[in-house]
Amino acid sequence: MAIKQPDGDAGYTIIESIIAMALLSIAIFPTARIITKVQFNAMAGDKLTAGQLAQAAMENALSAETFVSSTAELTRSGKRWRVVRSGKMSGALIEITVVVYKSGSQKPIAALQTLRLI
Amino acid sequence: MLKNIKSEQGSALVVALMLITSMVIITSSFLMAHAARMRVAQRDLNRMQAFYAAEAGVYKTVARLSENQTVNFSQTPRNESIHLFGDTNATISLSPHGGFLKIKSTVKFRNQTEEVCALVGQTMPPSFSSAITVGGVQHALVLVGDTSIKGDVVVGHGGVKAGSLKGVGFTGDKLVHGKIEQVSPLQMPRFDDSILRQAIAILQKKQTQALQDFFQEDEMQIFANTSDSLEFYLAGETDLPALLDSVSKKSTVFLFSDTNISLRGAGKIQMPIEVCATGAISINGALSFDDAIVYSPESITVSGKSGGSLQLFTQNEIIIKENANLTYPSLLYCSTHTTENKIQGSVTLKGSAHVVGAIALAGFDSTARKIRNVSRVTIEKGTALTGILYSGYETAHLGKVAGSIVTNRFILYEAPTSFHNWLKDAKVDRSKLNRRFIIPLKFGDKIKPEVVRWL
Repeated sequence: MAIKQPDGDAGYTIIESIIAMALLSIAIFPTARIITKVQFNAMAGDKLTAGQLAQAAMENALSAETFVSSTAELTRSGKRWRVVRSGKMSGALIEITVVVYKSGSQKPIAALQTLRLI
Repeated sequence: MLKNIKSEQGSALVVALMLITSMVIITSSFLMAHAARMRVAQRDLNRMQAFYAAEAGVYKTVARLSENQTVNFSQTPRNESIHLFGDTNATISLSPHGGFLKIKSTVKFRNQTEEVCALVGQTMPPSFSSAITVGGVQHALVLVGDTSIKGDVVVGHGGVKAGSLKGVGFTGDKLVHGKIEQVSPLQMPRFDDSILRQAIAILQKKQTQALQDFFQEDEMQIFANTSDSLEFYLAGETDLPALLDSVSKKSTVFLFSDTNISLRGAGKIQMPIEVCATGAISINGALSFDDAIVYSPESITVSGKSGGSLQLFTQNEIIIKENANLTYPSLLYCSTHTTENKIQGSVTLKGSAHVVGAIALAGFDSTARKIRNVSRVTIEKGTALTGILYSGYETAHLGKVAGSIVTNRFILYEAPTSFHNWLKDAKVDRSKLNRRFIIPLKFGDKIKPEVVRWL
């Protein structure tokens, strides 16, 4: 059975199709970035959370009578964090450093440093 | 022409273009929002680090002052860069602030700049670890009435004993609730008031310049706006809150006069204030100062319900009376002066006055026969001092001191007689003074600077 061609419609030209496909492929690039955006957004959220954890740990260290180095595992915003507090003596001063990592990672997300009198 | 428009050929290209444009717009806006969020998160973190580094700058400066013991500073702040940690540096400037030192620390960390400013004093030296130290007379410290001393006492070889005055003996359960250390020869603990004298010189210089500028104006201006402070000329009574109504709380205000002035009104004065007058200065009403430095060569009186953190400097007389309440860290300093063969100067607490801070009278018991020292600190009955009292000459103490007294000797006047080194109904409790109580510079042989408060 012969298929009857619709009247007056010869289909898209090859040039039209190629151009459309080319343009669509160009659109894929930003679309892919949208997908990664979700991950980036999470990164920004992580930075904020890590900053808050670092500040809390630093204030906690500064208000303590004597400084004690420590490592704490915490859950915040549904994620596990590792907060490392360390001190280095230097004459009459102690250099206090707080570094916040995602649990299981060695890449610091936030770090704060200050000096206090011993 | 019409035929061409009706043709559907090429519509896919238009549709694709529209689709792509929409997708690009949506994607870009998401990406921009994300980038902004990341920037904010990173900026907050950088700002936080810059702030902690700026604080570190203050503490590093304090440590350096402690090491080399040089707290002499020029009247013009100098900027100095110090290394903190990693590749972070702080710019530090030191300037005198009454009896304290002002340290400003500025740190730029990854394009975020933070500045902190701290007031630095010193921790209490060992000479203030006792409740009472009598550094000038060997004869006994005599206690009468309901006198109570909680803490150690350092006295001459006369020691401490109970006395009787007009039929009233010592009614306490124990002479001293602490150790009695008898010392010979006696020596007043070191008190270097050069910084306090320098504070006076700074105010005087500023006043001289301000008066000169003021009288040179063709049309007398009530105030002048200089680069670092607002200056107001005062004479007679001034309603201070009304005067400062339109002044920014961050401005430093310098009030100067060549005559007597009276500051009155009610309210909190939050901006830093400096007052310098040639005549007497009276502060009354219900003024509460966050940070004020006041100098008069004549007299300074604080009365009514006024108070707050005040540093008062004079060569002659300071009176705190009625319900005046001076808060931490206040300073009452009298440098004394010599007239007609007399060294004069006094600091007096009257009525229900309460002072939290330090009282310092820089007199000395002259050995020269022709010069009599009549300078005195008086803590009247009903008044209280929380902090330290250093009197280079004598102290009349009938009130309450939660802290430490170092004096050349005590004096008790019961008409018509003055009793030397007697205490009646006086209360001294050293244990009530916080270990972290910071006092002005420079008491003791070795000073240990410490932050009093952040400005």
